[in-house]
Amino acid sequence: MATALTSRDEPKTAEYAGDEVSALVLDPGFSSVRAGFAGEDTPKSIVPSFYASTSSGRYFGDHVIDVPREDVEIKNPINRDGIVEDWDAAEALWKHSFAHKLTGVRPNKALTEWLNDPKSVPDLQKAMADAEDTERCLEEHPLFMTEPAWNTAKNREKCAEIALESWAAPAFYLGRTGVMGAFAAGRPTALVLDFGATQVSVTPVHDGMILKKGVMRSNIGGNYMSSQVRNLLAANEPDRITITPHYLVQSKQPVDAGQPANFVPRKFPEAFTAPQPSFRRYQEEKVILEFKETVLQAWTNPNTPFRGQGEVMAREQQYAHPFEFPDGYNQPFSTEGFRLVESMFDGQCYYPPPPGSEEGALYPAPEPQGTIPGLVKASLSQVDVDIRPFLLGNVVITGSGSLIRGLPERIQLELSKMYPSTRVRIQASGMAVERKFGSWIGGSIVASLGTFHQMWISKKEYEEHGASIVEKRCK
Amino acid sequence: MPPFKDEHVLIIAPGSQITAAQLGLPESFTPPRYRFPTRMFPGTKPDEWEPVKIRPKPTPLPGPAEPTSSGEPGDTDQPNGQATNGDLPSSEQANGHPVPSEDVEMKEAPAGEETTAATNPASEAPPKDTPQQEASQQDVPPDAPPDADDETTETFEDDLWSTEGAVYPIREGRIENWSCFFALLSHIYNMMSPPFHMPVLFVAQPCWTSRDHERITQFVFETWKVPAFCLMDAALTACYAYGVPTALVVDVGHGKCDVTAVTDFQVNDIGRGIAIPDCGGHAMTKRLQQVLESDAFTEDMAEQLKRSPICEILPTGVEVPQGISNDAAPNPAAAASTGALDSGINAKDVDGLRPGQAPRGPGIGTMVGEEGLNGNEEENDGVLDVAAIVARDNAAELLARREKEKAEKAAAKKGAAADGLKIVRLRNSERERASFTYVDFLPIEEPATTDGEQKGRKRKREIEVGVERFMAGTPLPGVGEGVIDTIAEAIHHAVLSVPDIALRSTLWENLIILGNGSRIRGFTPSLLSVLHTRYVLSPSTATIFTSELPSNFTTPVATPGTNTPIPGQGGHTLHHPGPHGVNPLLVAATKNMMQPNQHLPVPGQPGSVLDPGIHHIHRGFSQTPNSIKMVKAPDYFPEWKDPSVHGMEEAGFLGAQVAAKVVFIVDQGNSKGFLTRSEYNELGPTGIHDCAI
Repeated sequence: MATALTSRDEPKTAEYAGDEVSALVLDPGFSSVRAGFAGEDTPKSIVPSFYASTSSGRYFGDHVIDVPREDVEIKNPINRDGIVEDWDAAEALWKHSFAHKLTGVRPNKALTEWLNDPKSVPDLQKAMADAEDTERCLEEHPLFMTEPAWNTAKNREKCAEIALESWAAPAFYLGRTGVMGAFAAGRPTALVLDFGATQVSVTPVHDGMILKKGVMRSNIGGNYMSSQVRNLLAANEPDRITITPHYLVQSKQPVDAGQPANFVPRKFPEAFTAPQPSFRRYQEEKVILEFKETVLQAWTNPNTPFRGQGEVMAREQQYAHPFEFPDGYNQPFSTEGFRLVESMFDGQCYYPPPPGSEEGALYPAPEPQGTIPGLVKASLSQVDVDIRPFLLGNVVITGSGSLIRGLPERIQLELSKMYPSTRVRIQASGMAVERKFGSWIGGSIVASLGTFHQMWISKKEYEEHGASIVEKRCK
Repeated sequence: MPPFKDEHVLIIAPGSQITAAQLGLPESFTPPRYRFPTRMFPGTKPDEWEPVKIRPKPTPLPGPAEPTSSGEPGDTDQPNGQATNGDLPSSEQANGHPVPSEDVEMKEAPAGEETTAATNPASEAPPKDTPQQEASQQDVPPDAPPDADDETTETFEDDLWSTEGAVYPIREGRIENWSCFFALLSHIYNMMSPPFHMPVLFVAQPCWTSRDHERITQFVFETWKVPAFCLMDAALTACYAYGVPTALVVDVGHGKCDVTAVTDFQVNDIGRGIAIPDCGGHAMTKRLQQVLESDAFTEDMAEQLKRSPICEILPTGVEVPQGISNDAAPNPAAAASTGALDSGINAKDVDGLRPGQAPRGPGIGTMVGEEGLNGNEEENDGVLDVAAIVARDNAAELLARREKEKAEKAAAKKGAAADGLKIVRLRNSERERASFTYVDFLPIEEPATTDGEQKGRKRKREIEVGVERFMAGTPLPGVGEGVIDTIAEAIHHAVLSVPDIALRSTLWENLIILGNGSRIRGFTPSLLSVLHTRYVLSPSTATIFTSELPSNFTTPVATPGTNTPIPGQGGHTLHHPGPHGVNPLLVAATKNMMQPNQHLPVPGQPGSVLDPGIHHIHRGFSQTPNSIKMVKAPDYFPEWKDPSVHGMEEAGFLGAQVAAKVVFIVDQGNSKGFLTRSEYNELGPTGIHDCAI
């Protein structure tokens, strides 16, 4: 407001400090890819990591992949350990995540317009250059990427290669999700419990540095919980509950609790090849997600253990959460919601898979050291005794999976019980968004710090030293 | 900085087809004063653009100074090195003299050759008298262009009619051709001839990238030298229009649809349906054309069919007369009650009349005339023709109304005219789906393209279509669901992605459907019915007695005997043991549900006082939706209740005016709602991201 302009004055032409370039922060996970500019408080582009694959190509993005297309298959470039497996798809997916909402896509005329009409190409040389240009989509933004702490060296180099070579980013850095979770909570020293889709991991962070030996993880993340929900529904009494996803339901009639569903199934046009099973499974997962949001709850009673007495207490009707499935079937769930969460703490509460199902092989009952208390214990036993109290005083809980009601309180109880002589303090943001995007927010903070600029791997350095510089620089 | 004045605010809302613009905020907010077709024509040089098509004269002279491209030299400080043709062809300046009182730079209007052709429709532009104006337009254009041709002595002439070669810079919301887009903006700017101290509010498409925002910011500041600029998301403007902070905004456009959950005036980026392809009006046109392919339907015919009142999307559960559509739900009850009758009619339909309709020559029902029945013609020309655009937007309703008027007139005067008869039937078809007359007549205009002359443009013929006209929302081949299904799915997904679970039921109860794509008959009811039948939770004993009943709600008392205690479910609650159907009391009770609250006690936890009498505990974590409601349109804008406006499809623009008033006039930048010139000089284009909105 310094300069007053009257309606007669013509403002001066631009003189702005145009040299500040904001870094792009990319936080790829198993269930979604978060992308945005450093310094912002939430990622502006959130894309599911799942993509639709048909004979005509790949489709990325919410809603687009939910359309039942002919013979469509839903895939994910990331495997059950949270590590990238399909680099082709991952690169395309990540590029989509920032190109479509942030940096923009440069239309590749060579592909869209001129492909079948060579005569219309105005200048072949220029067209070729343009076509290449669309590949180099990040030329103006340094790229900050996150990775799980257990990422392999080869994968890290591959990330650098994509960023600096294919996307032509001017600079690059890889940060660990756990560390970023600590930064998001504003703690340089913390024990980060990250509840991801594939893994629940415990990462000790000291002065902003990861203590690699202490990183523990277990396959009890969101996907495990979904698998448990499936087991629960399959074992439901008196009849097993099958999930009919929304896209298969044309309309439903209200039925009373526990009564069989009365719905009209969707009819697809004739000669329509139904989507592949993976599509249905992906749609079922959405129903399960809603189920988890509605029903799951952690047992936070310090006096009564859940198994046994608590289970009976929880059976009371006031704790029941009704859930209606897309086909209209509905039923209250009370003790089940507690038990599902309890199985992350106590392998005995595991819902066994129905016979003949492969859920059991993929998601077995967690071993004692694979439960949440087990992970924390194993992690702390790997770090110096002196810093353990600092870590326990800053237990950061992050990740979408931690949004289960009462989970932070439950962890507080559990850890206080395990370490009665130490003060345990839990840092869990009350804002769902901050926990969902914890590692992205941490990345956004770190990448916008002025002091961070010397950490970047510049393109030049990369060209000089090769990909191995990632191992040296991003520790 | 002196405060901004209402009359200086410039609002621009770009869309794939129409870019709405307005200078100044009126006392009571109106529909957009100008509607520009979002298209430009390539000029004589690359990266030069003209608002009308120019074409070389058949006998070319080496004329160096053709009026169409000889405007002032283009601005050289265009961003990104794109030499945007900011200047307008002089003839266009004359054309676009939409409101004579405004100071269009008169020096730019030496060539008045097209003035007769274009100013007439344009100057009649105020949208509210669209119907009359549309009728009166008919007299003007056909003879005007030849005059223009005669007077033009240059190598190039303007072709006011052709849209051939037009470049639409925005496709599915995305800006695909920047130089063209900027040329369009310059064109609009020049039409407005705004003052310097002019704050600008831009309605941003949701799919625009941060980079796009920066480019536009740079363009606006550096080319127009404005003092303040605000870029507001289209979904937010809808919320401003309806005056609700939390709403689910469904914006159905031309090539795409945006589904946005807005919570407390914040756009939710998670799960947002951004530019969902093949969900707009164009997809429905394409579908109509496809199902009518055997009848040799062109896209234009399909488009006009879509806008006509006989085209309709039927809600789920309503069978199309023939019962072959996949869109209509096979609701057994509906089928049972109406099916027999329908099939009888259909049999006749299929066997008798339908086949005969296909090879209909132009002769049948053709009229060459000035009769103001159809104004769609005017859309096809490139002239700045506000009236036609208005007409286009309201075409469906206008046609419907005109049909009715005509029917009344016909009935009164002619009486016996077959025309009148048909129209009476048509009105029946509007009202009663069950007793459809399968023969419907649709006036279709067919521009004579053979010789490029403007004769015979007014030819009309009537084309009958069968039940295909109900199939605009049915799935395209290779896709399992139609437009309505996809949008419904997207709505559900957008709500479920909102992290704050407690807000979800509020979202479901604040649904806003807007966008000109939703003008097709039956669109909104059909979408609502799909949402209802597919997503609304049924009231059942499980939901009623365990979830959301507010504690101050008195438990309904049923007749003794139906009160059977259920073991393990708490003794004294009401339970309806019937296997099917739901206790009407439950239905009544669930309708009265209120906002759940967040607190849920945990069993046996010390301190949680559990009153054994209270069995109904509020939760913030229960499933949604229990009900779906549309937001009631604000009724304090009389201009929006004008019959020619017809609904709130363009409420986004109303919201933009409200927002401009709030941001520029009321708030004056205290909450950083806009980027000022001095901030821009400091921060550059990226400064736009710091603005609150």
